[in-house]
Amino acid sequence: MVTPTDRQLDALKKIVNTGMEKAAGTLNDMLGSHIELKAPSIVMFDPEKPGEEFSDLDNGELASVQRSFHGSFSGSSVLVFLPENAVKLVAALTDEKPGSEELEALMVDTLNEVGNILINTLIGTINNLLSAHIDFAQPNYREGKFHDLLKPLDSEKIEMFLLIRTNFKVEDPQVNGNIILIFELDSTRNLLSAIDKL
Amino acid sequence: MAKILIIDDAKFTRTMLKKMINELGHEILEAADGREGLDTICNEQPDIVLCDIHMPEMDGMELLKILNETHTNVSVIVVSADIQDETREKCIDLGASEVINKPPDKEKLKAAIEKLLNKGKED
Repeated sequence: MVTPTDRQLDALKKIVNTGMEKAAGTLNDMLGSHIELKAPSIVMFDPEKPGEEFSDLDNGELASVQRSFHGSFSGSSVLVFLPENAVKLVAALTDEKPGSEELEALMVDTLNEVGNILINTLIGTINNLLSAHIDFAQPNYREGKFHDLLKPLDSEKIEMFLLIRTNFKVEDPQVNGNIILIFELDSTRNLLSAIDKL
Repeated sequence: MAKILIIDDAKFTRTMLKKMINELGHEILEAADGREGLDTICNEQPDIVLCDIHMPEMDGMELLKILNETHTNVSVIVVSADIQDETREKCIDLGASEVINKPPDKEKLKAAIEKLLNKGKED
């Protein structure tokens, strides 16, 4: 069992915030709209005993882009939207009309690239601050229930992990999204150890 | 007018880059991964290549290695979402002229292209 100290949690929140500010900046560049950020939440997450903190995402199907990563830290990252928000976002980025065949054809490619940019900016900033490096697998678009989307693509094992949830809100079009980072148990130790060296 | 090859597996980014380069009045070629890009470089001899890193089939790093090993005379600007310092250093070590983060800033891209075209004229 790994339990981050208050100092580690505080430092991690600041680092994640810095990454999210940069990621929000890239989304602002793409959409030309203000992006509001919520403070990240960081928990040791037991998939067998999910808490109340994700109840807002637990009610139905979600659209997501998942990328696993390996290197100084291993785990996976998931960009999550309600499906209607994913449609609004792609429509704004491509100038195609919601419901059109053209938009439908661009959905997966565009969401994968948005996920690629946001996740890379967030994790890249964290890694640069911690002098770490990781390699990413290709982005993978998935639809499903929240707890199924948290399961790693390349592993059936389900164990407790460090989960970081960030939330952003685009002003125009109104789109809510979350980026969730999952660090495997060994990587959580490495991450906390890197934070201790700061 | 220069010939510019865009290599990226994401159509979304190719479309964004095409719009920017169209405004600069250059000829555009496209490829969806490193292997297709390498074929296009051999067949079309572009002046500048804009290349992503993470792609299926052959990624940008592998393409840079091949261009380096075969002494292929083409300038490469890496356009990638990977902002890690180590990735940037690797790209420069492998011969990339410039590394630009996604989403690409139009003015930065324009300056990088003009710098390379002017350097080509001086050489």
